[in-house]
Amino acid sequence: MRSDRAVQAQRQPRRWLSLLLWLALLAWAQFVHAGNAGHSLTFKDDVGRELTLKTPLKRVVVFNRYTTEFVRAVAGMQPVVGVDIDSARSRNYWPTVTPAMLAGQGQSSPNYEAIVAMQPDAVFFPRNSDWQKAAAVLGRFGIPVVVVTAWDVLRHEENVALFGKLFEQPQRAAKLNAFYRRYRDLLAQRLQNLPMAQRKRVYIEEVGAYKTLLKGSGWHDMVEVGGGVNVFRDVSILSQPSARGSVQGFSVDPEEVVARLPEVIVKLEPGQYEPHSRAFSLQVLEAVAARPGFDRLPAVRNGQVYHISYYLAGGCSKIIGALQIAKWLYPDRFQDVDPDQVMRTWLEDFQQVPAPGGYTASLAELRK
Amino acid sequence: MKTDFSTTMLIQALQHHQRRNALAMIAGVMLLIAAMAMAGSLGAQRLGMATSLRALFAPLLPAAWLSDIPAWQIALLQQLRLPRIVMATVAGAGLALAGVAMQGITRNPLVSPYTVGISPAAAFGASLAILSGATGAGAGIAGAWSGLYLTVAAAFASAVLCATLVLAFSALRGVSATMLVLGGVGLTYLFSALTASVQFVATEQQLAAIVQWTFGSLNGSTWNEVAVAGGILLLGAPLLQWHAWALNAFAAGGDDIAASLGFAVGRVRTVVTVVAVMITAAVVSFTGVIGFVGLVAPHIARLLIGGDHRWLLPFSAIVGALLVLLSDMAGRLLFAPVIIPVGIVVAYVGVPLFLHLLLSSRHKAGLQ
Repeated sequence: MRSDRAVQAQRQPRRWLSLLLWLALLAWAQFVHAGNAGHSLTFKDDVGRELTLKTPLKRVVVFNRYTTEFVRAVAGMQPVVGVDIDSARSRNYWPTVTPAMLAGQGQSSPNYEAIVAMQPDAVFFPRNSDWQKAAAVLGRFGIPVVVVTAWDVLRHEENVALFGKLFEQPQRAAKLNAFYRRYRDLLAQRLQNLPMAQRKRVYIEEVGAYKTLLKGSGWHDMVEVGGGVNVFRDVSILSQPSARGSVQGFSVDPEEVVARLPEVIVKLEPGQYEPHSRAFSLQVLEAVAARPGFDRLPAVRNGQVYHISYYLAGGCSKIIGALQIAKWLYPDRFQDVDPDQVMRTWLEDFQQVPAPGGYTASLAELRK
Repeated sequence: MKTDFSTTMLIQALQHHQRRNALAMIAGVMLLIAAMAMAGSLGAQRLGMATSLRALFAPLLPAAWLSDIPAWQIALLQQLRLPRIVMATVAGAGLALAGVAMQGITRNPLVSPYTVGISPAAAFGASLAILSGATGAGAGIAGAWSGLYLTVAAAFASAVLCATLVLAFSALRGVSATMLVLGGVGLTYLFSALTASVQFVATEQQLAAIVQWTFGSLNGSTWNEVAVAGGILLLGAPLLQWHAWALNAFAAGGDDIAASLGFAVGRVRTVVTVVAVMITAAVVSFTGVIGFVGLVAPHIARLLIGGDHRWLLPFSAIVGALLVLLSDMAGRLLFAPVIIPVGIVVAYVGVPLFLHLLLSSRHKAGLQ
């Protein structure tokens, strides 16, 4: 009896150990199962809708070039199974995009059949698209529409962080946000002691002649973050007749431009990955300088007339454009900053494409 | 004897004419079914005729027959392609019916729902809704849907308002054909100017939405939309057919002959106009402006089977349905995955045909 008890007493710890092992095994199996099933993320999109998606997203269709750039920077192009044609115009900039990946002309005219056939986990639309119809149509197929507006510079960090969570790439998202913050903080730091009275007066013009940009537009912010003073910063769109346009394109009287004596003129031109030719830039800038009355403007007299491509200006939520403006306005303060190099980093490190350079031009240099 | 012979000849000619029309009708219906079947199998995803037929009748077939068709392909056909095809058929048939009815009551072969102001009025209503922020951005999915339906409701209300004005003006002078046409032409200009004014003050995003609407598109048509437009067509078509003899009387000799044959000229004109307007408004509210169908389809039908409205009304509907269906198919396939709005493609087909009809009009009694 004694020996039986002794044997049982000896076995007791083993039983407990074996039970613990079984429990550990079960817990591990549960953990592995949970890992395979993926996580789910609940979040609010740009238009305030609460969505829950399984992460990481493995197949996405993206409308709008800025959004595709963010996805590429955070998760690479592997999860991207579809894009709109407008965003994929440059073959060299989007080397992995094939004709089979095209999901419609643009954000206003998606090809729903093509999208359904791609069987994505989610479709990204900006808020200025026809996302309502897309959500209604694709919802019938269980395909969620996520509204993310990557062109909204004020939501840069929020958007990038969301992509980091959706693709489960928080480190790459953090790296991109750090890149953005670095130059945003640099600009703020070097311009903080520059009094308003000493800031240079900038006339920024969109594609059409005498079409400027007002407070509320990303391009206006780019000028002001870059240390310039938009000569039309005092114009409130709310007090203006709608017929004059919007903050994104506001028609001004030529006399108003001359009267406000800009010290720098920045002319925006739509551009693709391949930069404009020098001849084109010269033609654009000469035409601006030759406008009636412009010969008396300090900007033209001092050769401070610049041409900037949307591609550089819009790079990484316009922070590269702001750096370029700052460099033009205050070369002494930004001697060690090379916007071309920053653009190179954005293209090579985050977009994984070579940087051709040459996205900006100055009239003074071109005339030499 | 001579009289009997003439009567026999007349009866034989009439029977021959009716047989020919019946054959044309059967051929038209068969052609329409063939076109619908072809449209069902072609698209961003080519499903093949057999597959699309099986997918179409999926609820009635045993599961084993469908095992090789992915569920998403069945859903794609049933939820995207089929409502689009049926909407194209309803839209084409409805606009053609409205066109032939309006040409009949006005005795004017150049009249269509577009030229009497209904479509421009619908465009104005939709533009106004878009300008007032009916896209529903920021208001969640419920707001989005209410926005979409607000656009449809505004388009419908504006079209009905236009028709009421046309009828009211013409009623001042006894609902004459000339007053209907002139009133319609005047209101066409008025509503076009109003739409242009809305576009002038619209923001860039609103302008894009308005322009997109005025292109006319079947992209993303839903069964609910088909049910509303199709329901109104099903109610209106028999009413128009009911007045076929009256329309024949108008066409043969105008108001005096129609009145002498016992038709209440004013009442018939009002009823036919109201029905034509309701059908047009129901269609264009959902599809946007699809021009020329209402003008051209009746002429093609008239050339093929003559001017007897008992045959002309249904045959015009078949021709109109074919025209819109084939145009939409071309728009979907020519530059896939880009979808060219059906309103544009129909115009490409309709304008040359219309010009051809105009040039050869002096040989046609109906166009003199």
